[in-house]
Amino acid sequence: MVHLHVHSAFSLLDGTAMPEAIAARAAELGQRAIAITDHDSVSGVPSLCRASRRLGVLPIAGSELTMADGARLTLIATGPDGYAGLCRLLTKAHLGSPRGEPRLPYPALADEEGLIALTGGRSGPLGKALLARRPDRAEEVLRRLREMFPGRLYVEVQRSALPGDQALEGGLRELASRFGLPEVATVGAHHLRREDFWVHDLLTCVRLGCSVDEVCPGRPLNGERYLLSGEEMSERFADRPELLVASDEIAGRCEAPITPGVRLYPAYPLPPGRTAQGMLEQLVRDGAERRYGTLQGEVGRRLGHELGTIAELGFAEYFLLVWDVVRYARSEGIRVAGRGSAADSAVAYCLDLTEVDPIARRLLFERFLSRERAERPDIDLDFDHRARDRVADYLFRRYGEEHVAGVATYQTFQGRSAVRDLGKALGFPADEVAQLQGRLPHMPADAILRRRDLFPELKAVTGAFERLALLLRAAAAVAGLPRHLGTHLGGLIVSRQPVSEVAPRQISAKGVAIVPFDKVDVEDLGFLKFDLLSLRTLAVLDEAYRAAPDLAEARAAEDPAAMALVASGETIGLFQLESPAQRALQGQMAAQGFEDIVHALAIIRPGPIKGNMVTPYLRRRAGREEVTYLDPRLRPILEKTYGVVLFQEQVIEIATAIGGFTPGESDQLRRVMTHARSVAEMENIGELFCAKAEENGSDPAVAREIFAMLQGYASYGFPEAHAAAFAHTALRTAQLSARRPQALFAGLLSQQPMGYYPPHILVGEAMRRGVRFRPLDIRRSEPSYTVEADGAVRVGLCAVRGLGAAQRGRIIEARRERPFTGLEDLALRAGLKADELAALCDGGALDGFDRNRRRLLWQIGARRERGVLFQPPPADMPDFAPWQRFWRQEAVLGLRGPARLAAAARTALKGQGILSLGSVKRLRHGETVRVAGVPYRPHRPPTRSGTVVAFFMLEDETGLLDLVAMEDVYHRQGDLLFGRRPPLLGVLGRVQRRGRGVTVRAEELFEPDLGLRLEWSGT
Amino acid sequence: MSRLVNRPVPVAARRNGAPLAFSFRGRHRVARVLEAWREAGEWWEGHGERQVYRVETEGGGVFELLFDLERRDWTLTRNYD
Repeated sequence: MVHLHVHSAFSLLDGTAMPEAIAARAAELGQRAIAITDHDSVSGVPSLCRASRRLGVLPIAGSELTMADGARLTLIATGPDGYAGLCRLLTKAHLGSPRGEPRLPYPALADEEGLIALTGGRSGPLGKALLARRPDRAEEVLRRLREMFPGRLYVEVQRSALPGDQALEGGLRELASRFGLPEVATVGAHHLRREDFWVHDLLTCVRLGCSVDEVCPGRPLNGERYLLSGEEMSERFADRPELLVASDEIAGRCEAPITPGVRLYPAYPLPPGRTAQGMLEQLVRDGAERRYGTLQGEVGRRLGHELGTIAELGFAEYFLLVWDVVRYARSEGIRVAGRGSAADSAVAYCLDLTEVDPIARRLLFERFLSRERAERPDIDLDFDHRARDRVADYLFRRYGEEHVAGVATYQTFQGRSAVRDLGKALGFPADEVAQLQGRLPHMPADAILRRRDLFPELKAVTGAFERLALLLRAAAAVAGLPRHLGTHLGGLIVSRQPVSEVAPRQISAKGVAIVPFDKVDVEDLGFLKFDLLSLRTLAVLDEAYRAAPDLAEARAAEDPAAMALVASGETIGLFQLESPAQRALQGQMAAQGFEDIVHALAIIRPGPIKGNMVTPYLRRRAGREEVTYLDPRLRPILEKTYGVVLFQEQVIEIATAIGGFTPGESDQLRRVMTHARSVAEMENIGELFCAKAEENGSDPAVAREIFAMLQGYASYGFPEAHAAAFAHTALRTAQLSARRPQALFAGLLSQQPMGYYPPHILVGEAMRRGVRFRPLDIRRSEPSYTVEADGAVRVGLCAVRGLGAAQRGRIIEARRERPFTGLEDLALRAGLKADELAALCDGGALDGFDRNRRRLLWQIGARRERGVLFQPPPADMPDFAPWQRFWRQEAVLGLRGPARLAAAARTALKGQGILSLGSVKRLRHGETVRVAGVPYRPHRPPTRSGTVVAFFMLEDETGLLDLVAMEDVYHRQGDLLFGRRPPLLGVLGRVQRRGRGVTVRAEELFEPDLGLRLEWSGT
Repeated sequence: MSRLVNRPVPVAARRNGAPLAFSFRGRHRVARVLEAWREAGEWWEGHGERQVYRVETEGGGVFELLFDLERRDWTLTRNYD
C-alpha cells in the first residue's frame, strides 16, 4: 500500500507536516513510496525528493488542483515528464485566475500525458456531485475525465468516518463499475499521526478566520485523515483489499519527478566560432593584463589552476553570465560590488566582479570552488537597491520572459506570529494576546515554552500565563511551518528551458512572476540562481559622492583620517562597523591599517565570539599575551591573525596542513563542521580529523586540541575574501564620515530604513559631529536630504511619513515650473491630498506660507470636510503650544524625539542626581553613576555559557551610551527593558572603560521621575 | 425534523462497538445502523473523540447515539421524527 493523497504543510494553513517529516514517517512505516499532493502547489516536492533519496523511499509528485467548478482533482506525476506537465497546469491555473485563487479549466487537462488522475475526496468532482445528489453531473465529469486520462484514471475512495461515507462509497463504486474504471484507496492525509489532529484543526481555523468555538464549514470533523500504517489501511479497507493493491500499481508506474544534478543554465549567446571556455579565458587574460600587468609566474599559475577547475566542472557559461550582468550594470552607471567567497577567485577579480586581489592576499580558491565539492559557485553581487529592478529587467529582456522568474521565500511561523494567529483562533481576548506577543523575545515558537523561565518579562505576564500554556503549546507545534509564500528580495532564476516546464509560475503580491520555491529548492531543480542583492550602502555612497565628488575616487583604505575615526570608536553610520559590539571593539583595538578592519569585520561574528577568540586576539595584538601555536605548521597560517582562527580559509588551510586533506576535502570538512547537528556527528568528524592528523605526523593530544580550536570557530564566520571586500566599503564610509560627515549622514538619512540606527540617532550623532541641519521647506527641500552650499544639511521630503515617491516627484516637478505661492497653489499643482498636505504642514514644510501651523491645518481640514477651496481661517486662531508643535512634527519626521524628551526632563533628572550620557565619558573606570535616557534596541544575544545577558543603549540629548545588564539584574528587572518599557529608563551602574570604549554595567534599573512639567521651548 | 435529547442512556453494544439496543422511555432494539461517523470533541477543553451512530429501531424510530471514546459512556443525542 502506498499513500497517494497526502497534504504537507505546503497546503498552507491546512497540512501540519513538512515534506521531510512525511518522508521520514513513510520510511518508519516501511512504505516504499510516498506522494504529496498539496493544494494547487508542488512547493514541497524538492524537499520531499531530498529527504526520500536519503531514506530510500520513492518520492511521488502530485497536487490537488482546484478546477474551474471549484472541485479538487488529485493528479499524480508518473515521472519528470508528468511533473513538467503538472507545472504547466499549475502555471495555467495561477496565471489564468485572480491572484491567490487558482482555477484550472477542465479542457487544459487534455494537453498533458504523464499524469494519473484520481477523482479526489469529498471535494473532488465526483464526491461533490454525489453528495449534492447530482449523479448526472458525476457521470458527465467522469466521462470527460476518462477521455482525457485513458488508462490513467482511478476512482478515489476514502473512508474517513464521516457522515454519508457509506452512501458516497456506494455511488462511487457503482460509477466505477459502469465506466469500467479501477478504484483506489486513499486517505487525503493532513497530519502524520492521529494525535496531531488538533494542529490541523487549529490551522484550519486560522485559515478560515474563525475560532475553535465556532461551528464553521470547512473545519475537519475528526482525526481520521492521518498517515496510516499498512496494517491500519488493511483494517480500514478489510473488505476491499483490491483498492490497496491499486495504490501499489499506481506507485509502480511512477518514478522520482526530479533528476538530481540536472543543469538548466541558459546558454550564453556566444559570438560565432567561440566556445564559452575560450571566451572566458580571453576575458580573463585581458583582465589579468589590466589588473596585474602580467600573465607570468604566480599569476599565470593561479589563473591556470582556476580556469582548469572551471573548465572541468563546466561553469564557464556561469561566469560569462555573471560577467555580462555586471558589465550591463556598469554601463548604466549602476554601482555593483561582489561579495562573499567569490573574492577568493582571481578569475572573478580579473573579470571585475570583485575588488579584492586574492593572489596578493594569498586567498584560497577552494573556499570558492573545488573539484571535490563540484557545487555551483555562488557569486553574490550587491547592487544599488534603487537600480535592482533595472538589472532584473535586463535579464528578462536578455533571456526572455518565459525563462526568468523571481524566487519565493517560505514565511514560517515564528514565536510572535504564531502567538498572534493561534491566539485569535483559540479565542483569546485580543489584549491578552497583544500583551504576550509584545513581550515575546524573537525566538522559534517551540523555544518559548522551554525557555519561559529565562525571561522575566514573560514571568511578568499576568496570572493568565497558565491559561496561555495551550497557546504556547500550539505555537510550538506549528513552529517552522510555512504560513505563506513571500517574494525573495534578490533571487532570480534564469533557465535554459521555459520555467513552467520545471516549476509553476505565479504572480507575487508585487506583480512579478515567481516560482513557488525558495532559493535552496530552485537550485535543486537545476536552475541558475542570481542573487541580485540590494545594498543600500551603495546608494548612500552614490548620494554622498555627489556632495563630496573629490572623495569618489580617493583611496579610502590609505586615508589616515578614515583610520583615525574608526580607531576612535565613533563609528555610527559606518558600514559594518556601527553595531555596539563593533564600536566597543574599535575602542579597544585602535585600528591602524586596512588589515585591522578586515580582522574586525571577521571577529564580530558568532563563530569567533562563541569560540571566545575576541579577548585572546586583542591581548595578543596589543602584545599583552604571547602568540603561541599548537603546532609549528600553524604559524604560516595563523601568524597574520595572532594565532587565532578568524577566517574560513584558515580552517581549510589547517585541515590541509595538519590533516593532510586536499583543499577541497578540507572545505567539505569545514562545511560539515558548520552544519553538524549533533554531538555525535561532531565527534565523528573529530575522529576523522585526528586520525588523519596522526597519520600526517601530529601528536594525538595536539591533534585533538587543534580540532577543539576549529570546533570553537565552526559556526558562522566570514571568509577572509568577504571580510576584505566589505572592508573596502566600510572604509569608504569611514573616509566620508571623517572628512565630509554632512555628505555621509545626508546619504544615510535619505536611504532609510537601513543600518543599525533609526533617523533620530543618526541626526543626534551627526549634530554631535558638528553637522548643521536646516528644516524641511516645501520651497527648498529636495526628495533626498541635501548638502547645501554652506555645508548644512537640508531635511528631505523623504523624511515625511505618509508622502510617497510619486507625490515627492510631483512636488519637485511643479516647483521646477515656478515656485509655490501658497497652500492652494501647492495642492492644485502637485495634486496633493489633504492628509499629505497635513503631514507636510506638521513636518514644518509649509512654515514659509504661514508660521502658524494650526491655521494651515484648519484650512486643510476645511477643504477636506467641506470640499471648499482654502478659506482664510479666523484671524485670531492661536498656533499650537511649542510642545504640541514639536510632537506633531515628531510624529511625521521622527528626527529628535528621544533627545528632546530627555532635554525637557533634564532639570528634573538633575534633581535626582542623574547625569547626562555624554558626561559619563569623562568618568573613571569603576565609578558609580546614575544615568537616564530613552532605551534603544535591548537584546539578549546567545552566549556560550547559556546565561542571559541583556545589552542595550540609552539615548539623550548628548548622544548614546552602551550598557549591559548581567543575569541577576536582568532577571530582577528585565521587565523594564523588554516588558513595560517606560519612556525614560534610569540606570544605576558602574562605568567600565576598555581602551577608548566606555560602557555602564547596570546594577539597578528604575523609572526616573520626569517632573510634573517638562520644560519645553522652541521647536 | 429532529429533537435534541442529550440524555445519558444505557446501551448494549456489539463487539465492533455498534449499538444493539438502548433504553429510553422503554427498551429499543436497533434494527440497522443507518450511518456511523466519528467526531473530534472540543479538544481545546480537553475533550476526547466520539463515535456517533444514527440507527433505526425495530419500532421504526430513528435515533442518534453518541459514544464518548474517552469516558466510555453513551448519550442519546437526537430523536428524528
